Amino acid sequence: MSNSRGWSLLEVLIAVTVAAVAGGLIINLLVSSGKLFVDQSAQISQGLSLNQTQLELTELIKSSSGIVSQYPTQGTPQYITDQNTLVVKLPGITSSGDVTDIFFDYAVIEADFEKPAILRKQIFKDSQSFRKTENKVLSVNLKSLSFSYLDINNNAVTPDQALRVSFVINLSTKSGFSEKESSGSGTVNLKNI
Amino acid sequence: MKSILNLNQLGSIFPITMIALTSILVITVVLISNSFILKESSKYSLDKLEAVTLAEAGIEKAIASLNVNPSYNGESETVLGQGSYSVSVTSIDSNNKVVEAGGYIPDKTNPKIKQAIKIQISKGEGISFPYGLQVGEGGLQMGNSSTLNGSVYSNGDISVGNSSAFTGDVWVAGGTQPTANQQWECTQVCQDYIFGKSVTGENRLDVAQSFQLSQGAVINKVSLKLKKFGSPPNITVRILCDNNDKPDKNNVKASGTLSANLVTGSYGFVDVTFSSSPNLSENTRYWIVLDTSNDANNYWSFDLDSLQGYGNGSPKWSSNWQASSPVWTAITGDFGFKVYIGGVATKFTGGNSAVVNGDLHANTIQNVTINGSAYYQSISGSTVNGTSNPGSPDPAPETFPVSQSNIDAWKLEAEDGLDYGSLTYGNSCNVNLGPGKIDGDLTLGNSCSVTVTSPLWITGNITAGNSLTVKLPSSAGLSSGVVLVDGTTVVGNGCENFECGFKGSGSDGSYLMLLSTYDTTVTGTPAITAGNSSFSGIFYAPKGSVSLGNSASFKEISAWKIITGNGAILSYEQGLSETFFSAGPTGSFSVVKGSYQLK
Repeated sequence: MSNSRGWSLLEVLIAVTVAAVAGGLIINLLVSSGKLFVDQSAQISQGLSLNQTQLELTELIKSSSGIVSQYPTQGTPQYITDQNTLVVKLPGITSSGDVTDIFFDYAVIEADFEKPAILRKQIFKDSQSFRKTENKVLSVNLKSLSFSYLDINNNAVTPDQALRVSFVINLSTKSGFSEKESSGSGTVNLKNI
Repeated sequence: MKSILNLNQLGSIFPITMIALTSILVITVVLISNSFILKESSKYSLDKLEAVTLAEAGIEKAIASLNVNPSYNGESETVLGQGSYSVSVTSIDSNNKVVEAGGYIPDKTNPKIKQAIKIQISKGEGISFPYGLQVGEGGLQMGNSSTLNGSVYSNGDISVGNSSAFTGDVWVAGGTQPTANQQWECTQVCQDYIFGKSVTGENRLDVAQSFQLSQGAVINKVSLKLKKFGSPPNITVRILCDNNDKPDKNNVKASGTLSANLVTGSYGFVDVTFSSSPNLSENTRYWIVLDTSNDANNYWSFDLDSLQGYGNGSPKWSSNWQASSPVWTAITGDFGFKVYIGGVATKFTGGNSAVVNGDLHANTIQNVTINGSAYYQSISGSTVNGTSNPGSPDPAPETFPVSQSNIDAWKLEAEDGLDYGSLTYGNSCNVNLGPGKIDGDLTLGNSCSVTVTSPLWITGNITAGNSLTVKLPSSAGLSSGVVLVDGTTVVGNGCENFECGFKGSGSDGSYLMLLSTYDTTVTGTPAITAGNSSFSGIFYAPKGSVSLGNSASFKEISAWKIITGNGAILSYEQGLSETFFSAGPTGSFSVVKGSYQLK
């Protein structure tokens, strides 16, 4: 007959309780960490996207020869400059890589029509220009984008009279039940007008 | 009794805990590294903008430096704030330069971020002589065995003697009719029409004047009656077709540059030629459109006739002629303008063994050997060793490098100086004159030496003997000067090796220009007659002819007509393309609209 014996009920209960508490803590820690990871990753991704978008917008506006009211500039417009859409005229690029005011390219910044969270930059080049055409996604988390068209004294003017452009951009990402937002803004002078 | 539990069995709490802790550690590490990435991205964005700002600072520095020191050619690296910038300046010509600036964070040697900007800048004022010979509608006649070391641009025929040679390129432009086909100038109720800035809420950046030719023809040039305030940059002038009583932005017939250096603070007609000479139809409305940029301190004024006397057109203004739907607003009055048409056949005629070593551009080419390429409508008795280009359009006429406004400004400045009556000096005289006005003649004997403080204006004639030296004082430094004469100028023989003639201060880049306003087209008498041997200086006679003796040597001549004797030699000096005249408006650079480029 063996001297060994089983655990008493009390011992088992204590062991189960300790295991449940420890397991619960670990699970909670893992879930919290996961949520933090998802939230922070979304915020970081948004921040990167925001930085890149602001840079692209700044360089585009700086280099432009003017804001135009629509693209194509003649006939039925595909894109119309307004508070949410920017159509800029860019100096054409010659074969030597220099800018010219003999022909012009056009760039459009606008949210995707079907997926409004996607912000696109599109470049339509003149047939004589050596600039590359582009259709680039600047962000997939766009919540809102607004442009203001200003004169040199910061008075609001019609887009084709603008000497500077101000923009405000908001990005948003859903993280679980919450929504993370980032925003940026800038005012840029047109250097080629 | 056997235990229901094996107390020696390994538990799983520890591995589970380790897995959980490892997961948390991995998440933490990933989050921290991503945070660093975001931080670096944000820093990159800020540094990128700072690099752009540094490069723009380099551009500003270059413009400021060039306005003080025209020979400034950039700097390898200058530390500023958290980074540095470099600048390089490349000359297109004396009035136009390309500036490339780089911004570096933290430095040029090991940059983490770099950004380059390229722009073109233009000098609002100043005068350059890009050709060894520039000839007006009167044309060029060269004697036998004459040599031109440089290039020539003639708006009239060129006729050269036997064995004459051109070392550079030769252009003979399509001829221009002597009188304007359309013109208007205010004589009674005149007023300033300010543009190139915002005026009483009107953003007057582009102005236009319509006209209709009385006959269909190519348009060779327009003249515009303008003055300027401050130092605005060159502006683009275009000829546009009409669309419903407005300039048609989609139908540009020609484009040219109005050199701001030809415009002064007083009204004067300034010529603008175009890169090509388009055909315009008769009795059809066209527009002369001036395209400026907005600058509250440096802007323009058109002379406006309030009485609206011109019957074939009217002026308008717009804030942006290239806007998708440009708004043009009528202006009450008419601008001062002239439109000249072409249609005068021009030709290059060589003698036996005449040679052009560069390219030759002319409507008609006769009797010459061309070692470069030939561009023409017809050719005969000639040899082309380069490429023949039959059917080439006539070159467009070139404007002269000094405008009537420049001349008027110098005269005004001279009037503020000393007043003289007619002056006569004997042989070997040594006198100081100017700045001022000689109301009469200046007569000088042989071997005279005259030191001139610029400007000096002589309303009568200059008559001088042999070996005349007229020079600027050494205090003029790098600046150049001008002697204006309204009558004829006759000087005797020169000296060997350019030791006499019209000379600068002694500093490199300093020149003295003899500028004759005498009109040969009225009297037939040469404006400037020079003897044999060599003469320093710049001879300039926009309405007169210059007649040179045998074996005469010169540095630069621009005249309505030039006639050389046998064996004449003209040697162009490169420095003449970058000449600054202190006795008149001098240059200041500013950015050319539309040339800003992030590279």
